[in-house]
Amino acid sequence: MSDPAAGPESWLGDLEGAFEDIATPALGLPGMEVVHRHGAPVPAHLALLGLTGPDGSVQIGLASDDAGCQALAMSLLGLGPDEGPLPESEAADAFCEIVNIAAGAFKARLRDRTATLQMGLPIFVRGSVQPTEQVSVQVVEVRFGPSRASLLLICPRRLAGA
Amino acid sequence: MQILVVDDSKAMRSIVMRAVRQAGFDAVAFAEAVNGAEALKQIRIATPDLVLADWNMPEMSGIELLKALRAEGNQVKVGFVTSESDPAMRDLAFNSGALFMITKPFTPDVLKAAMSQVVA
Repeated sequence: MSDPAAGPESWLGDLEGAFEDIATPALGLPGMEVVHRHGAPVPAHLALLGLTGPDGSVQIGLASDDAGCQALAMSLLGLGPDEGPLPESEAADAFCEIVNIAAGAFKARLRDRTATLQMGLPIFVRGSVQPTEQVSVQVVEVRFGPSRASLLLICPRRLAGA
Repeated sequence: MQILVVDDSKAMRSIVMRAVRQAGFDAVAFAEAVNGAEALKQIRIATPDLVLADWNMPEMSGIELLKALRAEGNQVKVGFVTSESDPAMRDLAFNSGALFMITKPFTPDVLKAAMSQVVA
């Protein structure tokens, strides 16, 4: 659990916990394994969702390569490996929905320690999110079963450590 | 029984419809809408037996849909299936006339327990 005084950059553990929370009930997978913390953003399929509070907003994200995106989307839909691949738009939609579900779990984990966060709508992009002077990007490399993915926590630096 | 499933995610509409069937509601005809505004148009034409709506959607959210329906005097049964679980939102949903609010991810058993209270 994060230190509430440490600000949004300390919410990475909550983000990990949120995806762990949904790995089995939403994706039908045994769980999520953290492979490496403090990773770097790499070009990938990305689903991003913003959460806005009274002091600003953060974004959470899930990133993976094409195979990982397909595998996780099919897991959400309860499809077996022989039932794919999904059309690109359907894989993107399902990938976004995974982040939407995780965002709910993330928000619930923070409920008692932060002001209420308003969830936005997920978006799907291809590329990488780069940190700037204004924005920090924290990356945790994870594994859902055989699929590699990254979790992203994107915070305005003015919020970091606030 | 006619159920209108309202969610901007095609994947989630598919999951909800499958879960309804897995919950044992076999004699169901589904209609789908991608947001509250589209759902409102459909309901004005033909009121379903139950609306299963997401909360966060573009154009018109689930709670805006519910409020619009009640403002028009439409008492169609509405339940939310959403990733939101905030107690204040739950209160708002029930105070606005929702019959249940299920948090994603959910199991067919959870859906069955909620739906059994409100439909035959």
